[in-house]
Amino acid sequence: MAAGKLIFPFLAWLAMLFPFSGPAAADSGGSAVLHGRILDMAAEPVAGAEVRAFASDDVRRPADFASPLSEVDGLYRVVLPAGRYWLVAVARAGASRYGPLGPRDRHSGAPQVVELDPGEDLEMDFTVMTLKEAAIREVRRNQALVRVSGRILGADGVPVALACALADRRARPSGIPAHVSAWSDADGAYVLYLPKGRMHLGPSLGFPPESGYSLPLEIELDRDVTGVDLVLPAGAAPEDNGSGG
Amino acid sequence: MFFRAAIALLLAFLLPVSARALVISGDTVWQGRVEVKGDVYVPEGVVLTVAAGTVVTVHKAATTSIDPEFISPATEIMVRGRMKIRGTRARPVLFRAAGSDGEGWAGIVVAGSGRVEAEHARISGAHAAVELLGAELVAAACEFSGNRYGLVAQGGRARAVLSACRVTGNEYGIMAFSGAAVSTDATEVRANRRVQMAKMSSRPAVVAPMEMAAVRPSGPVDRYRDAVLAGDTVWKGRVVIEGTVRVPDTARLIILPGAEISFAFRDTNGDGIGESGIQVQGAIIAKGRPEAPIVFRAASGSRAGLWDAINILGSDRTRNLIEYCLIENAYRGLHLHFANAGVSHTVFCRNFRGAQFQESLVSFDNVDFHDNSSAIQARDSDLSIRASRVFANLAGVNLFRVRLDAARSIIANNMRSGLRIREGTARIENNLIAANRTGISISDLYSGSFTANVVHANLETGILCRRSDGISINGNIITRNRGDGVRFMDARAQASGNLIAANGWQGVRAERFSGVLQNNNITANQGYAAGIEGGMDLDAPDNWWGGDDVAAAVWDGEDVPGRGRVRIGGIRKEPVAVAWSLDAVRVDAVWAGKVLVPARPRPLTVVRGASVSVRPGTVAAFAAGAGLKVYGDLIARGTAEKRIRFTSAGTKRPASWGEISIERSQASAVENCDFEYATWGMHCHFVPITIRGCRFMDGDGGIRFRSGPMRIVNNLFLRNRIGIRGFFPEVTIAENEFRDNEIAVFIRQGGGGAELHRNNFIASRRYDLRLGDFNNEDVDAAGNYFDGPPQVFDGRREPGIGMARLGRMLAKPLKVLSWLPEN
Repeated sequence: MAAGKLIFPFLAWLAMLFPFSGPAAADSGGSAVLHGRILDMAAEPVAGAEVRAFASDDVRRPADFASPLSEVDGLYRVVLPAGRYWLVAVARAGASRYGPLGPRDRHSGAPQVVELDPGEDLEMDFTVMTLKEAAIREVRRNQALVRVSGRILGADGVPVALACALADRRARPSGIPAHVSAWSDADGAYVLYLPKGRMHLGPSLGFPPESGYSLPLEIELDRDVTGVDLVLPAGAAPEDNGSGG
Repeated sequence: MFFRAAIALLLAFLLPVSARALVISGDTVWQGRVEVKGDVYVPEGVVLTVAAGTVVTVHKAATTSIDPEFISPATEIMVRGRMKIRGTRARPVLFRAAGSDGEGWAGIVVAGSGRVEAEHARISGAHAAVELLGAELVAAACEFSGNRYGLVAQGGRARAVLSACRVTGNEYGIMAFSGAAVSTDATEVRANRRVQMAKMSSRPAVVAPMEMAAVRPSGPVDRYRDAVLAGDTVWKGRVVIEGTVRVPDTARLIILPGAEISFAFRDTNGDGIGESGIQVQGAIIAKGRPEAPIVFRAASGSRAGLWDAINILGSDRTRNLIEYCLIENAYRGLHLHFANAGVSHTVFCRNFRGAQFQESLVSFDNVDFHDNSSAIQARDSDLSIRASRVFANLAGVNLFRVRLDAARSIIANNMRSGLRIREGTARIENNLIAANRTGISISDLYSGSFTANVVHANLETGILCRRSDGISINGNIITRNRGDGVRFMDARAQASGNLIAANGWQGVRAERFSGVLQNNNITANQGYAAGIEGGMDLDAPDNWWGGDDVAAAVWDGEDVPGRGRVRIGGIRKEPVAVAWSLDAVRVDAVWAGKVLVPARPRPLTVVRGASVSVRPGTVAAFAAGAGLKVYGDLIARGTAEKRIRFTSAGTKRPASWGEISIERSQASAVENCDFEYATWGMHCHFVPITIRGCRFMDGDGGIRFRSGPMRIVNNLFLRNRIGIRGFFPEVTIAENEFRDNEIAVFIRQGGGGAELHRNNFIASRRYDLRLGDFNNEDVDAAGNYFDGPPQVFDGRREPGIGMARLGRMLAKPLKVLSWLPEN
C-alpha cells in the first residue's frame, strides 16, 4: 500500500524530468519507429542516454522529439511522425539535461539524417563520446593553413620588435581580427598561419589593435609565402607600444 | 519491480565515469595475490603496505602512453608517499613480471618525498627493481635480480640503505648517479652482467632560467564555474576558475597582458589531481608581453597537479598563441589534440607534464620547461623547438612518431632522459644535450640528422641509436659522457666529422651496425675508442685516433673471437676540424684534436661555473674576429711533446683573430701553449694564474692584463707588436725571452706591482721596456739581459713618469727556453 502511494508521485516526477518522452508505441499510419543501441567508444552499452530528433538541421536547440533514457543495455526506442530528422544521441554526466555539453558529457557528434516513412521500423545505433574522444576521432576537417612570413617595419624602414601582424578576410574587421601573429622578434620577423584565399594583412604595435584599424595589404594565398613586409604608418612610435586593451 | 527499475535507471543516469591508472587514495594494504595491470600511483601522504607472503604480478602495459604522473611507458608503481613491504624470511614478498619474456615492467619508482621500506622483498623482471629519483629506500634482506638494473639512485637527495641484501643477475647491479648515497652493509652485489656497482656524476650544465616579472593584478576578480564562452571573450586582470571553461569552436578566448588566471582546486574523484581547466575548441590567444606576462597557476598551493590543463582540441583553423606566459602547478600545462599552436617566451614549471600533444602542429620558441615531472610528451605531430631550454625535469622530451626540428636549444640536467625519439624523423642541430641520465635516445627512426650538437657529460650514453635507418651524425662534439659516447644497435648510420673524446666507456660501441664511421676524431676515451659486440664488422676509415696505437684502441674480433672487426682503412695523421657551434660554453667542455671557433657577433663565452679543458696536442683555430671570453675557467696544459696551439683558422697575420679573455677566473691554467696571429693571445683581468712554457708569436699582442697576481715565466714572445702589456700589474715576469717585438714590455700604469727579472730582451724594434704616460711608479726591472743598450722609455725620457730600475744587468742571455725542441 505504501509503495502504491509512492509510485504515482514518482511517475509524475519522472514525467517532469523527462518531458520529451514520446508515446511508447504508435506504429500506425503517419508514424515510424526508430530504435537501436547507444554505445560508448569501447562499444559498451550506455545507460541514461537519449536520442534526440530535430526536424531541421538546427540541432543546437531543444529537440523536437526525444527517446526515453536508455537502460543498462543501451537500448532506446522512440516513435516519431514520418518525415526527415536530424538525429543525435546524448548522455549527460550531470543532473542538468540542457545547455552546452560539459567535459564529461557524451555526444554522438555530427547529426545523422534520416527520412522516415509511415509505418517504417528503422534500427540505428549511435556511439557517444566525450569532447576529447570526439576530437581524437575526428578527421582533420580543415584545409591546410599556409605560412606567411615577413617583417614588420617602421615608416623609416627599420624593423620593429614586439609588434604583431594581423589578418582577416575583411579589410576593416570589427573587433579582433581572425588571425594574429606572435610578437615580432628583434629583426621585426613575424609568421602567420592563414587559410588559403584572399586575405587582408596589416601590422599593429599593440594588442588588441586600436579601434578603427584597417588591414591595408591584400594578398591571394595558395601556398607558403615569405617576404611579406608590413609597414607601420608614419608617426607610430615603438616607445608608445603599450599593452593595448 | 517497476519502482526498482526506475530507481536503477535513475542511479545509472547518475553514476560517474572514471578512467585512469590506479591512484591509491588512502592507506591501503595489499595481501595475497595482487595483479597489477596498469600503473599504480601512491601519492604524498598515503601509505601502501604490502603484507608478508604477497605475490605482486605486474603485467605489461597495454599501450606505451604515459600519464603525466608517471615516467615510464612500461607499467610502474610510482611512490611519492610511502610504501612498506613487510615480507618475512618464511613469507617473502614477491614482485615479478607476468610472462617470462624479460623486462616486463618498469619497477618501483620513488620520487619526490617518497620513501620505500622493504624487508624480505624479491623484485624481478623490471627495468629497475627500484629507482630512486631523489627519494629514499631502506631495504633489509631483499633480493633484486633478473632486472635490467638492480637499483638506480639518482640525485643528491637520494638515499639507499641496503643491509643483508642481494643484487645479482641483473644487467647492471647498483648505479648511483649525481651524488646519490648508497650504503651496502653485508650486501652481496655480484654476477651482474655489465656493471656491479658504479657511481657517476657530472657537474650540471649552467642554465639560467627565464625570469618572469609577474605581478598580481589589482582590481576585481572575474569568477567562473563550469561555463561555456560565446563569441570573443577577453580576459584581463584576475580570473578565477573553479570548474571547466569551455571555448566552443565558434568562439575565441583572448587573454591580455598581465592577466592572472588561477584555478581553484576541485577533485571529485579523490585522486589528488585538480580538475579545473580550460577547454578550447575555438581558439585561444594568450598574448602576454615581456613586462606584463600572463600567469596560469593554482589558486592556492604550489605543487604539481592542482589544476587540469589548458586543453586545445580540434583547433587548427588558426594558430593558437601562448606568448609570454607562466604556466605552473598543472596536471598538464598545455594539452593539444589536432591543434595548431605557437608557444613563445613562456615558462612551464612545477607541472606534472609541461606540454603534451598529438596530431598537432606546435612550435616552441624561447620556452623554458623546468622542474616538471616530464617536460614534453608528443606523438604524431610536427614539432619545432628553437632557442628553448628543457632542464631539471625528471624526464625531458619524449616523442613518438613526431617530425622534430630542434635547434639552438638546451636539454640538460634532466634526471632521466634528455631527448627520446621513437619513430618519426628528426633534424637536431646546434643544441646542447648535457648532464642528463641519457643524452639522445633514438629508436625506430627512418630518417634523422644530428649536426653540430654538443652531447656532453650525460650519465650513461651520449647518443644511443637503435633500430634506425637513414641517420647522419655529423660535426658533433660528444665528450665526457659517463657511459659510451655513441652506441649503435641494429642501426644504419653515417657518422663523420665528430669529436668523440673523454667518454667514460667506449667512444663508439657498435652492435649490428651497418654504416660508416669516417673522418672523426676519436681519442682519450677511458675504455676503447671503438668496440664491437656481435658478429658484424664496422667500417671506420680515415679517422684520427689521437695518435694512439689503433689496434690497441679497438675491441673487436681480434680480441674476442667471433666478434666482428673494426675495418680501420686509412688513419688520419691530423685531426679533422670540428666546430664548437654553440654560442656559449655551459659545461666543463673538453677540446681535443682540432676545434674550430667560428666567427660570431660576440666572442664565444665560457659562462661562470663552466670551463674548457684543452687536451695536450689540441689545435684551437679561431675564425676571423672570433675569440673566447672566459668567465669560468680555461685549463690548457700542454706538454713538452704535445703542445696546445691557439691559432687562426684563416689568414696567418697578426690580429687574424680576437683574443682569449679571462675574467676573474680562480682555476685557470695555461702551460705549454702556442698563441699565434691573435689580436691578443691572452687578455686577463684579476686572474691569479701562472703562464708558463708558452709561445706568443706573430700577434698584435702577446699578453695583456690588469692586476693579478700573475706569474709569467719561461715563455717566448716573438715578433709581436707588444709582447706584454700590464695595467696596474701584480706580476712577476721572469725567465722569458722577448725577441723581435716592437715593444717587449709595456707598463701602462701602476707599475709598482711589477717585477721583471732574468729575462732576455733581444732585437726589440722600438723598446725593450716602455712605461706609459700615466705610470708614475718605478718598475723593478733588475737582473735582465739586453742584447745592446737597453731601449727603455721611462722618466729619463719623459719627466714625471716612473723609472725603470734596471740595476745590475746580465752579461749573457739565460737559457730560459729549454722546453723548446730546438733548444
